[in-house]
Amino acid sequence: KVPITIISGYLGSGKSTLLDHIALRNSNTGKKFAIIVNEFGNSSLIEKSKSFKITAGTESYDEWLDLGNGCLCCSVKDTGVAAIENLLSQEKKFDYVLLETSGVADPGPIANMFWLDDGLKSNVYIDGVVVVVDAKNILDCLSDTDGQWHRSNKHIGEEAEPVDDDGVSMAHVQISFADVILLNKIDLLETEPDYDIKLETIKTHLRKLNGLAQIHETRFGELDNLDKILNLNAFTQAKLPKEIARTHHDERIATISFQFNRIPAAKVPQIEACLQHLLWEHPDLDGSGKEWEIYRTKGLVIVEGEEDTWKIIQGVRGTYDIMEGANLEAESDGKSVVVFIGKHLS
Amino acid sequence: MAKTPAPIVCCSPKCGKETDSTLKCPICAKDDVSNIFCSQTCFRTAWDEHKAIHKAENGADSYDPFPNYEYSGKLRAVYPLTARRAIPKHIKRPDYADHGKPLSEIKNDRTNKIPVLTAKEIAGIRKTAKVAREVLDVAAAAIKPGITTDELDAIVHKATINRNGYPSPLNYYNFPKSVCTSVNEIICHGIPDARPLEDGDIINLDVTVFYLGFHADMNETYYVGDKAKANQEVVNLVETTRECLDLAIATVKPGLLFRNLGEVIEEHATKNGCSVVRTYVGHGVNQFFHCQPNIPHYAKNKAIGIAKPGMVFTIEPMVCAGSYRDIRWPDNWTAATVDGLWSAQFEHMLLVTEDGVEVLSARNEKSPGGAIPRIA
Repeated sequence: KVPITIISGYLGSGKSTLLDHIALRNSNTGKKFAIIVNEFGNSSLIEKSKSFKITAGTESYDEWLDLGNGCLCCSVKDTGVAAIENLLSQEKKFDYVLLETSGVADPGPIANMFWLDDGLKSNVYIDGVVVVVDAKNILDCLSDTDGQWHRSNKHIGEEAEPVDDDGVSMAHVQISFADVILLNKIDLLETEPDYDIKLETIKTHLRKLNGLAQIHETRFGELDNLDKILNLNAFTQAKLPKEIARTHHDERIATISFQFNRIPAAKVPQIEACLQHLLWEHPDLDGSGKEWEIYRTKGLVIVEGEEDTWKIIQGVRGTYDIMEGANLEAESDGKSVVVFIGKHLS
Repeated sequence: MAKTPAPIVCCSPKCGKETDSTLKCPICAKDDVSNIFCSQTCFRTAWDEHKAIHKAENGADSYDPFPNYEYSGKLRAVYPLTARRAIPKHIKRPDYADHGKPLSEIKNDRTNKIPVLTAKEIAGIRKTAKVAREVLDVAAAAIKPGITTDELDAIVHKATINRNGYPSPLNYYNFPKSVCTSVNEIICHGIPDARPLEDGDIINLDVTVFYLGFHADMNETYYVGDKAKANQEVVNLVETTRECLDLAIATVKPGLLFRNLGEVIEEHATKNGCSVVRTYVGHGVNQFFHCQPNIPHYAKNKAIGIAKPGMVFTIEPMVCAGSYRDIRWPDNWTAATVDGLWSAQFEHMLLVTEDGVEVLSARNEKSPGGAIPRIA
């Protein structure tokens, strides 16, 4: 099975440069990457694009990924996924796929598309979501409550509203789905006074939105170690940090976590039912009627037994899965944790 | 008093708008058939679908439109297709009838909420289901060696409009016909064409009717002639598929997790030496032809949702004698098994009730076809 990593981030954040570097570096590592670049600017990946350009391996050939135009009305698989699977089943033998989304694409549904059921026996699996962020103006972007910043920087597509009623923009959503955030263009920030404080402020803000993502600094899209973004196993394991930043009461997007002790096996279905209720029924938990949304769910549950066993919980919006985990005693600290990242969760 | 002539409509299945253009397809015109397009662009974009109705270039009665395609089995497409069948003006049409795009359905797809029908809606969709069952039965009764799938399409089309319904498949995403006819190694979405059925074939008729504002969707696989009924492997395949559906339906009641339906189906299919198609799923059906929930037929899936009273959806397992992998013909619709071995399908439309399930598409004593015992 070939891993696929989604590379997301606004236009101008440095995604393309990052991918160019990876392609270049690669000629020496012997690993064959299929880098799928979105050619259509700022439109939504799923709706508008009919084909992608591929730059693969050491050769620089281009290939248009044929998405076809038939209706898959009762089909479970997206045309993009089928096209990539087809690419992988050919002779070329890629080791890894990197998929660049368009600037304002929501990485959630895209990750979900590649988070294929085991029963589908696919040759590709989603490894993680990497979001590239422009360190110089990310704070302006995140505090753009009326859409002005987005409009003047031309980040929106023609029909889209840059910022929703709650002042949440696609940047917030992208960051909430990230397994790794690349804080790019650090070089631009470095020249400013109070650089250290500014950097800390940015990182703190990002951690409040997404307490699970790893944050790495980069300049010119250069990443010293590719392992920071590859083979994350973000959808099959649950690397949860021991401390999750506490959020203020009125943050629009936040990470909240629940910690509890090991539970008896009999209680696992209860946890699952509770999760289904939350994800599928959207109950009005505090009576306020406020619309909340869970974007990403990750959890590690320790099940009591003669020997402790571990269950890993993963979720992207309404889709979730609970799977067997390996011996994770070292990571779990003896406590079960379930983390939700989403809107109006506090 | 002179009658105003019926307005001319653009022949492109992607357009369908009224037009006063006189641009005709020159090839059709040679046979004195007038097919008008409102512009060069319409003609060009409609060409792939439109040319299917043209006769063979060498004047032969029928031809294979994909002579260089590597078919996986023995079946071949037999063109030309017949021209698009007309729908009388008084019949209520779904929003995609003119141009092919089900806009309301596409818009609804974004919400991800599983619809729950009101008592009034349930009463309505029950009537639609009854009409669809009648249409399916009428067409099934006509199955015999020698009849072409196109002739079966004509029967379905006529039976539907006679009951004041619209045949839902017609122009749904530009599907050219009023029913899906899937023969032998065809998994689903077969297009009715000029091929006569042969003694020994199996054929699936997938009928959907739009009536009273609802869609009702059901299908069954039938044996053609006596040869198929005497073939042990074929009978095993067809009966296993029928049983898979029945077993799945038996588990439907409020509280059922949709992701569990696949387990029952896959277990029974595997037990009988067959495999389950993964690409196509069961689906919610009501005012929309296809909507939530998605119901995979294979085990280990992440389907969202729990059955609640008032939900209406289909379960439609496609089961294969060989590999479950599917490929698509160049017509972009017909799904065939990758190894050319045969595939069968059965579909029922279900309503979740307070304590169980109601099979809206149920057979009655007069329905043709039905289970036969396996051959020892």
